[in-house]
Amino acid sequence: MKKPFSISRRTLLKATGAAALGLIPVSPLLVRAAGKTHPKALQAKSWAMVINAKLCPPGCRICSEACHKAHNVPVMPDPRQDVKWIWQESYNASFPYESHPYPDDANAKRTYPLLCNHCENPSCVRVCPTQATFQRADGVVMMDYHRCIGCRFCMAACPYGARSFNFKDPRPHIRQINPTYPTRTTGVVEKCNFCDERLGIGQLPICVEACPAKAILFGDLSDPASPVRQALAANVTLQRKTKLGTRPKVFYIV
Amino acid sequence: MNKNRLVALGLILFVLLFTFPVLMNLGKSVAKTQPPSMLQDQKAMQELADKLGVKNIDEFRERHKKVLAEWKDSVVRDGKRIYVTKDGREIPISLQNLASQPQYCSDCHDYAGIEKPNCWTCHVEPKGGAVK
Amino acid sequence: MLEHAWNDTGPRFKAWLAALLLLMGIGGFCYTIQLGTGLGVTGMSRDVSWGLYIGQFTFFVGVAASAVMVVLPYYLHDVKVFGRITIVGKSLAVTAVIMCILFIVVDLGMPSRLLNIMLYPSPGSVLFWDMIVLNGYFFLNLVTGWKILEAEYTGIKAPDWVKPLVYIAIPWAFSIHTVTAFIYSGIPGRDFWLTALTAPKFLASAFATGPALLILISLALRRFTGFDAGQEAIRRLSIIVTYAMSITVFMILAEFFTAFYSQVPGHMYALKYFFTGLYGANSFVLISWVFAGLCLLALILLLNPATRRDEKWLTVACASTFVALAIEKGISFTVGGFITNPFGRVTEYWPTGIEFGVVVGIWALGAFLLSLLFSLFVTVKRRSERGLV
Repeated sequence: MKKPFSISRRTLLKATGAAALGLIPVSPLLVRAAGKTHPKALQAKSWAMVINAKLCPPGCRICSEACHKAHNVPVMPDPRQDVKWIWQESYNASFPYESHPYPDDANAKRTYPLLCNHCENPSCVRVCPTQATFQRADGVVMMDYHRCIGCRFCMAACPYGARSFNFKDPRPHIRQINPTYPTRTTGVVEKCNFCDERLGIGQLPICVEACPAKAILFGDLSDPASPVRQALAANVTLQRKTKLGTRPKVFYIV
Repeated sequence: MNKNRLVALGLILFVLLFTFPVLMNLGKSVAKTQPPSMLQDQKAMQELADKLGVKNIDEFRERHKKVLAEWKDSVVRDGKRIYVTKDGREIPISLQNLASQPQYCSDCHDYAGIEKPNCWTCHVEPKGGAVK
Repeated sequence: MLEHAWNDTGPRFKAWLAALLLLMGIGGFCYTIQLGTGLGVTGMSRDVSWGLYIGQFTFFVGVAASAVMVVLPYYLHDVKVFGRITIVGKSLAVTAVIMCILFIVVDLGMPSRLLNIMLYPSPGSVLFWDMIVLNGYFFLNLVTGWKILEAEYTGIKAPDWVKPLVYIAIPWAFSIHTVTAFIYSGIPGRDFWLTALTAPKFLASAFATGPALLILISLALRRFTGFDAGQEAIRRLSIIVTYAMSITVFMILAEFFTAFYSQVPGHMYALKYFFTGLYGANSFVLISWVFAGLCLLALILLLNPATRRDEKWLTVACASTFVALAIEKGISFTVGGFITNPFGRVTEYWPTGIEFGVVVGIWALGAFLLSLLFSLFVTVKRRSERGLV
């Protein structure tokens, strides 16, 4: 019987394999961003925050409300699937490794605003398999929601519980959508980004501006003249879980 | 003989299954919607091209997906919120700005039968809806 | 060669496959619900962000790696009695790796972006390396298993390049489970996982689980298909299970010592949660004591030569080993890392019906593939032994 093709099976397989290489997408790797920094953008080597919770009025949630409103953070019906970027916890819950059962009267009643610490040595960035969370040159630990595959390794790696996952569609649960900022979608991890969208056009993070007591200071940790360094030099401060080596950049005046 | 019949049946089923979309639409009018009125409006089309930072509407058609990918990386990964076009113009990067007219995005995408852009699952579509 | 997987089987086998297909369908249906709504349909939460899916992935990586326990002696130490069982081990390895990859995919929040791991390689991330070693192990076992089976089928010696690949697969097997362990043991803040013991413990428990499963499978194959892996092979495997299980239990007990003698809260929390409940949260207590009881039963039966050599008791011992370690690695270990949360509180986790449905679907898929692979090589071996090449 005459064979229609005189190509051997080996050759065919080799050719198919070579052709399959053509399926490797090259364009995502070749996209070159042609961007320019906004002239008013705030620049720093190492953005950090100092929070003086002693100034927080009792029960005040203005920083959380401002942040969550501006960033379309949903209020999920099931608290187990909470999404929060900045929120309040008690003294013992904020510093479980550094506190003891006999806090002073003030701390026994006080709440501390907790958020992503934008660590200098972030374990979440180390573990991300797509670099969807990455550390910027100015010290902000960013989230790229376009790239996140929702594996939640970063959530396991974060020692501070700063990250939230979109277990369900957040849109129906956003009280009032802010059209100038995106929402996120089901299946991505999100967290505070130090208001990179505001820093990029020359504004301070919204929690810093919204706080009526001016309890949140923001500045460049590498600049001795910055508000954060001045506050650190003048006050006793705590970092959360210092022992873990993540070098968090949110400090608390206690 | 029995096997040959099965093979033939399988082949016919395969062909039917894989040409199903074509067969479904045979004889139907291609366009599900009217051609976008925007296509007649030269000024609006040039405005759209300017907002993206390309020369004209033809370049828009060709490159808008790539330019939007560049925008995405520039803002999110580099923190750079201004796009510098090939001829040196500076455009503020903003989907809200680009899709500010109600007829943008959806009219052309629906007319051409292209899958609608999934930007709007996260980014908030401007009033009037950039996607129907 | 492939047609032998189907043609030479009876109606009972086909009914078994049909039942598995039904379960796979149910799993698929559950997964579509999850795709539509999001991972909110599972029992996972902001505090316990990994659960049954990742636990099962961890467990089956162990099963996949355990093939090395028969391949290594056969190829490196000329233990000829393992000759017939290596193909069982390889089939198990291939199937288990597929199940692992599926467990990861169903756990992802954005599975459509799965290829991002390859498009944006991140050599600093353990998950990136996990992807590489799992895929590599899959292809190694698939290709070498296929070539060796084909060699039996045709009566012609396998090509020369197969041997080096088999040798590479041996340390590679150790690497897949080590990398999986490193997913857990390299992140700060999760005290239960942050111990160097995690990787050795994973390997030891894998080398108990896998051979135990191999023994159970070999006994089942002998019963249902007449394929006999060999009395001596099963005896040797049972010794491997005994040693591996003893080492595993020792490592688990060592953790108890470190936690409770040091009295450091971070080390004690997870163990307290499992065995006594913590702050009133106790949904894992029953299953943890079942685990402990099964470990004890397995050890008693395995360490005693009289019961180890008796096939009936060996079956009980192997089943106990498998179920005990399936509990430990398949769910408890993963959940334990999240006890307590970073704020010192306990959030409980229990899989939902949909989660179970997806898991059962993947198990059924594994059983389906394994059954077909067994059917294939049993038939091929039968033919080659009868000289029907």
